[in-house]
Amino acid sequence: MTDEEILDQLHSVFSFVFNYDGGPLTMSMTSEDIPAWDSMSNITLAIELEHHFGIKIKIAEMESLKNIQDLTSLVKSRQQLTTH
Amino acid sequence: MLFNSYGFIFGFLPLSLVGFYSLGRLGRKPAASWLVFSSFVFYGLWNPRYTFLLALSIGFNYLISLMIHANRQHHFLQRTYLTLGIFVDIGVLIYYKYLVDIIGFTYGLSVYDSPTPSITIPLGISFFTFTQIGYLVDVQQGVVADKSPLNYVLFVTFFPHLIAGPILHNREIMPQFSEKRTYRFSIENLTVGSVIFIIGLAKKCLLADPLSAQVSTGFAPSASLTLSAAWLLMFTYAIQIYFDFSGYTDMAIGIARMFNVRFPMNFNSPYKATSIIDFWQRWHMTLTRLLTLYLFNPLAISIARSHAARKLPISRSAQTSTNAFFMMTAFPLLITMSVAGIWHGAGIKFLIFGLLHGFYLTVNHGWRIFRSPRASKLGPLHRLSNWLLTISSILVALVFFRAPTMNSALATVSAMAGVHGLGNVVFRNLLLHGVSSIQLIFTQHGPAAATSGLKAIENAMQYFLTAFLWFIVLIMPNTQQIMHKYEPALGRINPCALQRMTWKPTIASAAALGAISAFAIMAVAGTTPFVYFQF
Repeated sequence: MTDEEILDQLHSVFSFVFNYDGGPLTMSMTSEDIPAWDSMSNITLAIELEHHFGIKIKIAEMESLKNIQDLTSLVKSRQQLTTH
Repeated sequence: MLFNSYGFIFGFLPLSLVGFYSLGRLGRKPAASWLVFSSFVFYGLWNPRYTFLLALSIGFNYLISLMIHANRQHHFLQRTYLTLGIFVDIGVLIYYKYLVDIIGFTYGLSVYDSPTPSITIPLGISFFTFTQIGYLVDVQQGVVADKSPLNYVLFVTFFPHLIAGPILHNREIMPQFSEKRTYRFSIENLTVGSVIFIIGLAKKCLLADPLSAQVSTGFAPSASLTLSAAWLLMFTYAIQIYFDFSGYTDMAIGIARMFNVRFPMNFNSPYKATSIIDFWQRWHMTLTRLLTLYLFNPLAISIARSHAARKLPISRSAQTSTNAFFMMTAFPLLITMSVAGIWHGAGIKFLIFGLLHGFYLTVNHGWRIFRSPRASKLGPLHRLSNWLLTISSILVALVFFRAPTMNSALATVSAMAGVHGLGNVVFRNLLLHGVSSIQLIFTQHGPAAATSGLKAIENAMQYFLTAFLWFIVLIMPNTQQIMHKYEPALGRINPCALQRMTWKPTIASAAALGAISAFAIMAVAGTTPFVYFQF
């Protein structure tokens, strides 16, 4: 998956988890740009990412779910692991 | 050993620094070993017997971490070792910290028939237990890169954080101990570290300690407080504990920096918070991080996973059903904050402190979930009312944190509700005390009149002092902001609007710091132990 494809998929996850209806997501966005993205909804986000991308997120990786850049690279690295 | 003691400032600290940098010329290992040795001496100077406990705890946990790592292909065995490690760690903690209270409680119920034994709590046991549990969990999750024994021992014992934090995370500290430049003398780090240390020392000795007598009197059994006196007491205690604990943290961050090590931020102007969620992002931040990572997240995730597995909706809009809100938000929050409360000590008081904050956080999150988020900025009046609600909630919970007994806590809370009358309004009190005290001294004779006059002046001074200190925490930049040009701590530091308040190495700032440190060091003699040493 390319970064663009992941960003596109993330958009639909975000609209489901955070009721996000803003413009396309960009790499520079962080949890501070999306009002509903806090420690509580982070849990929902993790579960939804697992379902959507068919990956498993470790507890220790929860901290990196705070901005789009880290999120994208997490999804990317995990998908490479599962496809190989 | 106390940071704010002559033995530490003029003996231990310079000696360990000289040894560290001299051995640093020979390489990483001698200097790191010296630091481990110094840290054990630091701990042993307080109670030599417990250095064995510390060493045992480190040895045990390191062994478990090796076993967990060696069995990474056997998921079941790995989990068994992790469980064993956590079980023993918590067991030791319960034995030393909670057993006396538990036995005392059962004795009171006539379950146990001999009087309470005496066990001294090993200093910092809550801190080094949780730091190590975090490490074990991370090894099991496969996210620990550095498994060197020397770095591990140094990470746990490094004396600036050993006794009262900040609670370090292996990922941010162990890599620093691997770097060669950590062992090279740096005049910049020594200077910046000293400045941060002096700021912390001044906070503790000059701002926090003078308030402690007044707070103790307020919580004395005989104290029957009016509404205004009770609130003044809590405003005073809140400011005392902030300057005490954040002063301690600044000293720890400063000392670590003298050894070229950067610690995480632990306080970020907590009393500027305009919500309880915001407050816990700013107060004892490393404890919040620890509990979020290792307790709240696993708990909330497993609940959410089981919801998802049962095909129940878990999205944000689905959480507005009462059942989902309770299971996915309220329950994990209440559990986490109860542990946060009990982490400070045994007893129903700390549990209530934790539960109150759990309740506050639940309401705060409920507010966010049940109302759609608004993008518009809040007006100043709205922000002020948010701040007032936040601070009053914090002060009420803080009563249970400080009061010596449950009865005293309840008495103070009822006084805050106005059970013993409203009392003089602060400003009227000030005026009356101020004018009458001067009158008394000049117009009346006799020692009694003079004493009561002085007493009144003292009262008025206390109002002023508390108000002045609140002004400092609400308006002035915090230590990190003052030092922001020199990356004082790990984590994002918001620059302060008051640019003139940032530290620069000039002659004027050197003179000011010299004066502050002289006053602070003179005040060391009459100093009290840190509030957080009991945890």
